[in-house]
Amino acid sequence: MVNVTKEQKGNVLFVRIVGSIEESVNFDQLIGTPTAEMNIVCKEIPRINSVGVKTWIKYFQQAQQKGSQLTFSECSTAIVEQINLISNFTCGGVVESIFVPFSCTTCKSELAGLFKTEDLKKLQLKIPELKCTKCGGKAVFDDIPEEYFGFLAR
Amino acid sequence: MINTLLLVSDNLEDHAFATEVAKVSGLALKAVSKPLEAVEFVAAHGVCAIFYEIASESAFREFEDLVQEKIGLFSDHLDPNNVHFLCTENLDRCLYLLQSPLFGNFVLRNYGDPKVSGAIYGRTLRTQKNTGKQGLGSFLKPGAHLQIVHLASSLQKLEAVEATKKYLQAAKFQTRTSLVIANAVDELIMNAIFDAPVDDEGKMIYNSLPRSAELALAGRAAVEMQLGFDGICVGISVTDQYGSLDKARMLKLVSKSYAADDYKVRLTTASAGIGLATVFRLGGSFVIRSQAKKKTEVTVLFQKTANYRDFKDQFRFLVTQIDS
Repeated sequence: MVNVTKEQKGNVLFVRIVGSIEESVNFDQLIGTPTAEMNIVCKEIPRINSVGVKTWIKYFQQAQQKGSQLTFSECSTAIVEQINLISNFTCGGVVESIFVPFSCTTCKSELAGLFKTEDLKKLQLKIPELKCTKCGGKAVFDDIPEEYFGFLAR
Repeated sequence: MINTLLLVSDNLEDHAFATEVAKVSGLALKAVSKPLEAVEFVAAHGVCAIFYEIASESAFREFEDLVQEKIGLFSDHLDPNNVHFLCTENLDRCLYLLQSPLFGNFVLRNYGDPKVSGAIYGRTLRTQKNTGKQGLGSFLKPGAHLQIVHLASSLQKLEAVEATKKYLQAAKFQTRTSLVIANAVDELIMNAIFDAPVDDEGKMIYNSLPRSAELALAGRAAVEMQLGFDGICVGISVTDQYGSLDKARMLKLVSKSYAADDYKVRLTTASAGIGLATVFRLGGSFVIRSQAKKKTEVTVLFQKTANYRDFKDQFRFLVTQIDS
C-alpha cells in the first residue's frame, strides 16, 4: 500500500511517496496531473518491483513530456539501485540527494547517510566513515562504489 | 567415462572449484588445458559435464570451431545442458555465448571460497543431472528447513513476498538483502502466474492482463513456491504446470542490461520484462528446469553474507535444464 502526500512550496510541488511500489500503484490517481516543477521525495520507498518500475517510468516520462521539471530527492537505496540499473529511470529529472548505505564494523547495524549528489561528486567515490549511531563503532560504506555511484558519471 | 566432469582450464581457482563440484556431485574430475584435448576427449568418451574457461570471445570461437569440426555443434555427444562456461565477466558482456547453440550454463568466476561455491554448484549439478528429482531441498545442504506454499490466488503474491521478508529477517539477513530476495520472490511468482500459462498453440494467455488482476490458481494454473535456508544459502523455487519456458527469451530477459540502453515502456504487454535481469544483477543465481508442456521450476539461490557489498559481489551462476 502506497501513500502519497503533496505539499506546494512556492513553485515546487513536493510529492512524498511512502511504501513499496508494485502493480497496485496508480500514480495518475495518487499524484494526479503533473505540475511544472515537482520534487519527488523517495526516502520511504523500500522496494520497487518490475511492474512498479514500468508504472514509474510511464508516469514520469509523460510528466517530462508535458514540460514538468523533475527533481528526485532523498532517494532510498532501492531507488538508487534502479537509477543505476535503468538509464532512463529518472526520465530526464535531476537527482538532488540520495541515501548512502553504511554497515557498522562492530555491531553490524545497517545505517544510511543522506548526501547531496553534488557533494558526492566532489568526494570522487571516497566516502567518509561514519560513527555508528547504535554502538559508536566505525561504519563503512556498504556497496560497490563504482556501481552505487555509477549514475553520477552519466 | 560418462560420469566425468571435464575441466578445461589451467587456473588454480577453477581447479579447486571443480574439485569440490566433482566431489559433491559424485563425478570423476579430469582436467585438461588445451581446447583440442578437451574436444578429442569428448568425441572419444563423452562427458557428464564440461567446465570450460572462457577468457575472451576469440577463445570461445576457437572452442566452437573445434566442436564443429570434431563433434558437430548439434551432435548428441555434447548436450548444451552439459556445457558450463566459467567466465570472468558478467553475462551482459558475454552475449556471444547466449547466441551459440553450445550455450547451456554460465558461471561467474567470482568464487570467494572455492570450496563453498563448489559445494553449492556441486549440489546444483547433481540436481540438474537427476531430472526426476524436483524441489528446492536438493539445492540446499541436507537438513535445510523448507516452507512450501501453494498459492490459491494471484492476490496471495504480496503475502508470499511479505512472509519471505519476515522469514529472512528472522534468519538475521540484512534488511536491504532481504528486500532484494523478497523482490526475487515477487518476480518469480508474477512470471509463473501471468507469463507461464499458454494455450494449446503455445500463445500466452494472461500476458496482457494487469498484474493486479485476480486469478484463481487451481488445476493447471497452480503455482507452488518453496523457500528454504541451509545456513549458507537461501533458496526460492517457484513451479508452474505449463512447461512453456522459451529458453532464448528467458536468456534475453536475464542478460539484458538497461544501464546504457533506455528501458522502453511497452503498452502492448502488462509485464515489464526487467525483473529477472534485476535479480541476477543484484546477486541471485538462477537454475531453470523445464519439462515441455509439464512444468517449469525456477530456483533462485543467494548466499547469506556479512554485508551488502559482499552480497552483491557474490559467486553466481545461471543453469538451464530444458527438456523438450
